[in-house]
Amino acid sequence: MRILVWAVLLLSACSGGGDAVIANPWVRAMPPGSAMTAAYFEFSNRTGSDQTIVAASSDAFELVEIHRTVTADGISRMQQEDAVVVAPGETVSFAPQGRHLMLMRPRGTIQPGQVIGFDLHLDDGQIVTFSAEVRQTPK
Amino acid sequence: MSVPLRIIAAILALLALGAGAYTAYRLQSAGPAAPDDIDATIFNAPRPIPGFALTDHNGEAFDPQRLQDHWTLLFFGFTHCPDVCPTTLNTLARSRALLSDLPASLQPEVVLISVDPERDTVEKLRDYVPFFDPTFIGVTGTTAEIDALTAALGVAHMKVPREDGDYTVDHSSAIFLIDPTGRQAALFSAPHEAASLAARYKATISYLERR
Repeated sequence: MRILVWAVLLLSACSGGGDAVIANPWVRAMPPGSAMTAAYFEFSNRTGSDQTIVAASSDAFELVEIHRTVTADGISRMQQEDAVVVAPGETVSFAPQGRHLMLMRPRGTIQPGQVIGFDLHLDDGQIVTFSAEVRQTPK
Repeated sequence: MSVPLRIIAAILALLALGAGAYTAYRLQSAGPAAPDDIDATIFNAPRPIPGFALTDHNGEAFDPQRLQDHWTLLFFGFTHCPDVCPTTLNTLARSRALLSDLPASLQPEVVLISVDPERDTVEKLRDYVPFFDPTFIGVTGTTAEIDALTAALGVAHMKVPREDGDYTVDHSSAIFLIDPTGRQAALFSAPHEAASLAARYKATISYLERR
């Protein structure tokens, strides 16, 4: 059990892509029966060229979209983003009240403490995988 | 009156004048802080809210009477909202915890009013709102009643269709401060952060209580 926990912690700290690092991932815990929630993390590009995130997916949700909350003139709007470009050496934050993965139609109950896997699809076909714990607030 | 007595009387009169001036100066400097110092929009005259008949998440009537005798933080949102609404509700929950040192009479009641009454039923709000803080109150009603209240408060909200046939709602992200007589006293603009929202609330009600 302890080995499994460590494996999960290591997974959540590292990415599967090798040249991208995902840090501080978490999924917002929502009331039971909620139709949607959001995932947040930081994406660091450790390569020498642009990395472009064009889609995201998760086995735990039927639909995952890249969105950004934009607040202008006192009104909050959600904008879907087709691509997020991360320049070499740069880090892009997916954070509350900003860019996030919008997670819709959960395939099962999503509970605090649960660890959910995600795939970020890059425009060059590479897939960056990471796991995120369901929490009420970030660590 | 002898000369020495006249001198004493003059000195006493001068002292009284000085004390008066000092008191006036102290009163002035201890007066209400200029609203410019507070990160809030404070209305010069609190704005009355026209009557409304809504329903809370327990199925009880939510009318102007429910805004009487306590401060209220009013927020507009909806449950099919993945980012802004849960973030704001979490922020409000943490702010409220930070305000627990205030006397009970100055602690705010927190109310979420749905801008998506079609999907946000009483049952939906009962599952959703107390999850963030058991004291929070969720409110819904008919589309006409919600529209009338949001129009009166100047709260913008627009239904935006999604490609998959679903829809989302763009809405005002401000938090409204309602005074203990049920009038709109101030509003706090986004972005909201727990510690600063608690500080803004304290500064605003402290100013309003002295005004």
